[in-house]
Amino acid sequence: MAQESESNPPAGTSTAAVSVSAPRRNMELCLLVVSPPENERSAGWQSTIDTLIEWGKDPLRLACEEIEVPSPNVIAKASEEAKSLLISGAANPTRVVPSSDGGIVFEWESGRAFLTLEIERDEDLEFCFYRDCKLVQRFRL
Amino acid sequence: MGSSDVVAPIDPDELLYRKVPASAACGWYNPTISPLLSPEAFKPRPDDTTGISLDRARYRSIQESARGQPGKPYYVAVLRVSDLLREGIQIVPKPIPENPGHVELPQLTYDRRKETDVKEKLVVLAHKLLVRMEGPFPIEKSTVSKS
Repeated sequence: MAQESESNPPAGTSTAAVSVSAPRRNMELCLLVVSPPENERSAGWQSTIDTLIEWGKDPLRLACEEIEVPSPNVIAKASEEAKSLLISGAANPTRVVPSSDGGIVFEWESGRAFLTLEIERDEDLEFCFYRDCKLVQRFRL
Repeated sequence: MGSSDVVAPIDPDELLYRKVPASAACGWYNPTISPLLSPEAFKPRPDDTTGISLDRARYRSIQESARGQPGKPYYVAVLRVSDLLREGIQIVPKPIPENPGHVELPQLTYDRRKETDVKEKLVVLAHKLLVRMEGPFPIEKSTVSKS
């Protein structure tokens, strides 16, 4: 059953020394687990950030009938998140894509795990962790 | 489609087609990055009030299903009816005059797009049930604007 709100980090970890929210810390811990070597991670994040910069310069490059073009604020929020996750040590995403309804989604694929961070059209953030296509963790940031 | 035309019941062995944008900027499917399709390809859009749309291969060629916005290339995701039914994904025939093979997945509507079961079904469709991707299909010459 997916958890819809506050969610505790995995057992054996502590949030005592961190100032970030519990859901955000939980997301970062999930993304540390699937993280590749540092050089690949940094290059991957830089590629993601470059993509977002290009979208910010010309959002209409995303335009097609299946996609509502994300607003400049949504693209800026996604860039901010990418830089924050790079600094936190999180794995770089497999890809970053526009959602069909005005948002932007970071996707991570790692074996049986599939993780997403969606910056929604209203700039709210949601993190989802699927295992074998089942939604096992879900929280708003 | 004429009034005397009858649309055949959906057979479990039938294939279904879902059009997927192929532009590099979209990136929902990029085999150089991952063999997996992004679940965004199945996410209901605001006009999907009664379910997302697919085509029955029995009534449409892949090339016909790949037709979309003029000047834009598309892939086509191929799925099998029996696979969807096994996962509890309902399929309803919704023939329209220009496409007798039009079907909808009524559980996947825009209003329910944030429900847990819908989010899981999107991942199941993209990661578990995808039979194959076809394309990209080139821009039709007749639709390319002359400069």
